[in-house]
Amino acid sequence: MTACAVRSDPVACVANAVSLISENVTALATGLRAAAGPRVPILGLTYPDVLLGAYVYPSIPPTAARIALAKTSVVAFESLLNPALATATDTPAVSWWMLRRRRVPTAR
Amino acid sequence: MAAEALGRARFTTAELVEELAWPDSGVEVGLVESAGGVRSPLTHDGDTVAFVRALSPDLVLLVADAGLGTINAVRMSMDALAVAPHCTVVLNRFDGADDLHVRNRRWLTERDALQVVTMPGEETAVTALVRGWRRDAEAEEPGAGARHRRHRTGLPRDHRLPPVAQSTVRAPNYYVSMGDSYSVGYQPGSGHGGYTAYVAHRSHLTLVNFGCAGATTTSILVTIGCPLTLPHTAGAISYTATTQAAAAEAFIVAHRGHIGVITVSSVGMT
Repeated sequence: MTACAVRSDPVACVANAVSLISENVTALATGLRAAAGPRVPILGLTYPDVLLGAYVYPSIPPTAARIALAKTSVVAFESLLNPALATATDTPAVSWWMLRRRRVPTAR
Repeated sequence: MAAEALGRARFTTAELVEELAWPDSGVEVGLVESAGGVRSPLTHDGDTVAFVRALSPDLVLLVADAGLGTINAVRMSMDALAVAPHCTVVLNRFDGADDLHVRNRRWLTERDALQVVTMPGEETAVTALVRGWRRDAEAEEPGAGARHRRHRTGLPRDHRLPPVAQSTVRAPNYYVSMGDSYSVGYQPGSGHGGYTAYVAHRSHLTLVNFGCAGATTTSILVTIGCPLTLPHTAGAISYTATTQAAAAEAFIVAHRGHIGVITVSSVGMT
């Protein structure tokens, strides 16, 4: 995911990565649920949005390119990654609690 | 095997367990000593692992040599003792001036996240463990100590440890952590313990951390072992011959009913 930040088309890069992530998370979550039984809470945490974090980090100048990338990262999380994770984990066989990154305003 | 060699009657693990009898007045700490290695035959139908499974002790003390071969022996024994919720390693004849002894102890504590005590001089560490568990049990269930004190009078003969010690058994016991560098303590700006150590502390669960710095959702499923363990990884578990997912699932299955929560942090690097 983070490697997509340096690609010329980061959204397309994320879209490609999401397919593999979804497949892996489904396999992992299904295996853990089968091992743990139905009552053990399983919590998945996505990697933090470091691009958005950089945008508001005091010592990093908010250039136009960084602002654009930060806004793109929000789209990537909210439109691609989070829905894919929800689909991969919100099944009766998994019942997985996914902590999704909350929306953070990007306008200064 | 010895009974057969001496022409004596065979006995089973169940029969050996039935031989145990605790005083009616109860005891503060009951000690049951086994013999040989944990997989050495102890009875006609079982070994020390089977004996541990039958007794369900609060704490297993694994006594190991402190010198050459220690890490291999301890790791294999601890794997076999997965049936026990709490194990502490005792390095026998430990010499603090012996560089190998010191390095072995450090490896077991820092890399394998084992509780290790050495003799002589650290007997109090084991006592402190037992006392700490009692405090935890009392905190979780106020009045438990008083009830157990009452139960200590007229205690029926039982093969298990008396109620004072039984009160320290808690379920669930474990917090299983998996994932990438965030799961093993990394965090921007600082990095000692991270969220997993915080969750373990607040939940009063024992952290069992299979996380691996640099892990991805793919490597968790397919990479054998963890090539990089951060020096401040809390509760780190070593798995050199299997994947992170397989190692964690094996632990979860072995401790089913004692898993409080599972967290997985990943996805960032696919």
